[in-house]
Amino acid sequence: MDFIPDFGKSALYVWLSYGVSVTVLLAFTAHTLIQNAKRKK
Amino acid sequence: MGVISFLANPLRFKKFARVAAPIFGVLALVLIVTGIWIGLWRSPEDQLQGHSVRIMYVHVPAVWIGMMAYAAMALASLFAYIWRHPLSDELARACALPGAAFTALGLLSGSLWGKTSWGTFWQWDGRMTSTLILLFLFIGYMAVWAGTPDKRRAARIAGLVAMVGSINLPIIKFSVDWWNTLHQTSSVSMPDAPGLPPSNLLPLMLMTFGYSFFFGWLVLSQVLNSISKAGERRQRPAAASPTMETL
Repeated sequence: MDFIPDFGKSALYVWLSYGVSVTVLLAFTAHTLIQNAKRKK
Repeated sequence: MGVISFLANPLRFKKFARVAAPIFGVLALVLIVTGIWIGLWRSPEDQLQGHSVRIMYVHVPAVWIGMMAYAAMALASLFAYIWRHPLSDELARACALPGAAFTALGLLSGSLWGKTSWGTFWQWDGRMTSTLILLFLFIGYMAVWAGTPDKRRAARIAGLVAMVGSINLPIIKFSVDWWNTLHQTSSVSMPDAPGLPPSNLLPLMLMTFGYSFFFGWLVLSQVLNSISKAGERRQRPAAASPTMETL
């Protein structure tokens, strides 16, 4: 598992910040792509 | 003003948005993926903050884009008030949800960073409180749209909320100068600011531009979808309420 960096005592907070941010961006992306596909039909 | 009046025509706006939106989407994807890669894997830890400095690369851009979204929403509402152009209302409305999401992400990531660096998730200091008010303003704006059946009236009231609430933007910006606060003063945007080393500045800028293009993609797509839905409603006049027609 060398490709997963070790952020020491901040690890939980760093991964949580990025995890929530990426999840929200992906949710917006999925919603927008679905709406765009409906529009183009 | 030339660009605004050019894009005020829905047909020209649609032509522009259909070309620009996919370009913004691809740029956002490339910049955000690269920013996350550099932020997590390539940039060094900070001497004082340690690895928690990496949270800054998602926290700072999220708050900046939240503020930019509110400014865009207030400006579009102002145009709607002056020229009564329904496209401006749709543009303002499209900024609200992404703006609220970026502001919420900024608050959440900021509180996580605060726990690692200050030992607390929350402090009622000027910047955090004014950013929380920004989130409430976004929610209030969306609540007006959702709770007012007459969409023309909703646009007028929500526009007023957006414009009056924009007074909060300079308060967020200058709160660190006006009040004693845990937050540091500006380290990037001011000419005499101490600045950041390139290893920190690169992921911060990549994520900022990535979020900006992502926001642009979301807003343009949302407005295109609204125009399309309004067109469908016009083609089915019996099924649509005339008060729902905003375009």
